[in-house]
Amino acid sequence: MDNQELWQCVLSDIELSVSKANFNTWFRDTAIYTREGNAVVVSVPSSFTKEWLENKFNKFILKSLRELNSEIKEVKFIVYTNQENISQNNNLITKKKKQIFKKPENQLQLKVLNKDAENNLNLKYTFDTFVVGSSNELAHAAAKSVTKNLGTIYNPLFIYGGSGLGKTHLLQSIGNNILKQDSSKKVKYLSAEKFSSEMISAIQCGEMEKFKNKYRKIDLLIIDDIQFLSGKEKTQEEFFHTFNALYEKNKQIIISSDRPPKAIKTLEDRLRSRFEGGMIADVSYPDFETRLAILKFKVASKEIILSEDIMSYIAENFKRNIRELEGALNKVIMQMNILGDKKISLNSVKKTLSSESEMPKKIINIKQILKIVANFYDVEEKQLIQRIRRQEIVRPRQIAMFLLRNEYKASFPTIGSKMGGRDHTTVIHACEKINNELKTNNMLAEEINLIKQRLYT
Amino acid sequence: MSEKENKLKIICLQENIKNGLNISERVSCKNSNLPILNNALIKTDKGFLKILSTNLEIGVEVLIPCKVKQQGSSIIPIRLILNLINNLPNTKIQIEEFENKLLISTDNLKTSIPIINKEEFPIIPKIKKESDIIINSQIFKKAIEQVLNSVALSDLKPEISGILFDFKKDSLNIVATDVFRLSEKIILNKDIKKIEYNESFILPYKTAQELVKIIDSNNDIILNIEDNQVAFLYDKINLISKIIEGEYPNYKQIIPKESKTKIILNKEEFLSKIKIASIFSSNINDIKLLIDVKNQNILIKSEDNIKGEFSSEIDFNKLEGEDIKIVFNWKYLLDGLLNIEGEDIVFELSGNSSPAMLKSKEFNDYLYIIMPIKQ
Repeated sequence: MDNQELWQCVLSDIELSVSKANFNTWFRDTAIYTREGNAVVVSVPSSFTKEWLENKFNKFILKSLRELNSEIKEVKFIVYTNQENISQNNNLITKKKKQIFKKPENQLQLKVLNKDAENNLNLKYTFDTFVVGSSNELAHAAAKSVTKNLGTIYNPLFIYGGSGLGKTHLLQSIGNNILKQDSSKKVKYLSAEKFSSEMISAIQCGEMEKFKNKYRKIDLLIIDDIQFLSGKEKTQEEFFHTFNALYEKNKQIIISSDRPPKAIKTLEDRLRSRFEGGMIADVSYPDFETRLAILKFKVASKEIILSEDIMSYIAENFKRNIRELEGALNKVIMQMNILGDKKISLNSVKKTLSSESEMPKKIINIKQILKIVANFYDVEEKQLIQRIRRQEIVRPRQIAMFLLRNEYKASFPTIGSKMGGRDHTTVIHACEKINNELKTNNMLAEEINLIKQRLYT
Repeated sequence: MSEKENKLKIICLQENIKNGLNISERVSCKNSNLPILNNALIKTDKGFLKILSTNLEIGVEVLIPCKVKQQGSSIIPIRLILNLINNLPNTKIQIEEFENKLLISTDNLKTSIPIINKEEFPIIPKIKKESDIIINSQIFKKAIEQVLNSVALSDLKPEISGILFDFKKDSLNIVATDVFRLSEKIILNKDIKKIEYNESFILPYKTAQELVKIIDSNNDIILNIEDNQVAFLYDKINLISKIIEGEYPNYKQIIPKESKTKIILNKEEFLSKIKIASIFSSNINDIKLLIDVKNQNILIKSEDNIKGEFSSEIDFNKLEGEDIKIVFNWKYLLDGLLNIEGEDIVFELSGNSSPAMLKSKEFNDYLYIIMPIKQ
């Protein structure tokens, strides 16, 4: 029996014989600190507790310990609080409260936060905590090689993918890794939105020169969510100049977006072509194995034990993004804390998560699929149904059929009749064609992924 | 406790017991899940009655003079007894334990209170060491008062929810901040009677507040510091408090080393203008200062959609450096100004988004740093 188990048994014993208030007051945050031969040293959170346990519960605790282990002859107490636990708790509180209170704007720059004010990087994001799977392999490899050859091989690095799939994690890991190698490097991480608002305030205060200089001295510029620049022409222009200035000096630029450069509306062509000039890597939906690996990683880092079938269940049911996956896991952990580890079963997990896994699953119908496909390819809905054989219509039509078959699970004849009374063999042909092409054509796979994303969000 | 033990019996003056219980009352906690903490343990101690109370973070022992007729101890519900005693004239009060009841009586008045089990009362820890620090209590009190209003009142960051006492080679630096402003008071070692401690500790806000209330004479206060607690011995009062664990942020780095704009002005003038401006400020307490060096003019402005607008010139003695337009929370400005001693103050600014500094022109042992509101 290790110390933790031993103390747990003692606590269960004591809990039975003292009042709840007493138990909570005097035994909270106690633990066995160490064992020295026949003596057990118990750590307590304050000197009040120490006095009390020493004087009032000493015999009781000793008796209880001896029942479990007769070698123990003595109990000692020391005041000791586990700093880690405290700071963890505090972090939790901080996080919670931050959501409730709007953070006041201007503060003295006391450096107690994890986040570095200078470069905006959050230290919790590192490569070590990034789980690599087939869906993000390429992006991860590109990010890794960027850290080894800053500014020379993949510049700019453009990473795109849906929200909650780990783009920010990857981006910040690069920044943190670079700083770890060489802390004198100037790294700046910010969102496109922040870039834009900084620029606006610079214009207001007439400090544009200062702003320009600030960004042109950077070794590694990381811009998150670049799609927010779309439609902001002046910001785009300024970003373009900054980009060029950095690019000329072989400074690394890393950009992320929720869609490929081509798909960002109203992005100026000169910017788009620049983004496409470097390395483009996508982060797509993690497959089941990756999701399970992520869960296992999270579970291990939280130092809890969760059975395989529960983890599989969560991985199976939360497919859309990793944040959701984490949310589900947190909910299960919460439930474990309330009910105790042992009472957790697959069924209770299912119950807890049911509301979550079902609700966002949007019910799709034929109309929606047609509408979204038409929208995506910029054709009219009715053109999909009409008998037009132009290439630009045929392709979307086939994709629509494919989706109706695979996502909506409609039968071939139904699809045929809904698509303007076509024969079911036409539909079969369309599905087979897309299926075959999917194996070789990555662009198509991407397009279909994006359409699916629109369908489900 | 055995049956044979003596039952407590004392006589003391209403005023003495009232003063003692007032201190106990403030320390004891009001809504704990441990109801025993609403009580105080009373114990005879030679010619005194010792009153002990605690909320498990602070423990306090107060000795009050009394005539001991029979040694013993008992337990009293603090607020009940205090309500009773507050309403009595300053006469002799007899307190006596008799058949599981506590009898409190004066010449013409009698009460009897059931006694609860005193075995449940927490043991207040003792600090065994000799004194570490001896300092004049008025100097100590003033220093705490000057920084107290800068302490962060929320528990979001526990390490700044208290006052830092940092014992340096030649001075004691007392610091408090809530990230919007920061107060630093320096007591030189020559003003401290005994120092045998050269580390630092963070004193919880509530303890500091209590010390300010307790200290009312010119006597010395003695500090004993141990790993996780600190004891204060002052007159007949012994107060023990936990120390906040954690590392105080490195505050020195945010104290501005130089400034772009420097103003010397009369404190009262500044205070009164801020007070008037505050009437017209909006719900974020903002007031604006427009400082024009070329025309040697300082304007204070405030406005609110509903209340209207206010503007006034501020008289000053000296103004040099750059022009600046800056917005402050008037409450924070007021707090700082009230902490500063002397007639004239030095107000140093470095741009409208960098911390500004307030200090006295005459005394250089205190400074107050305040963050402007972003415009």
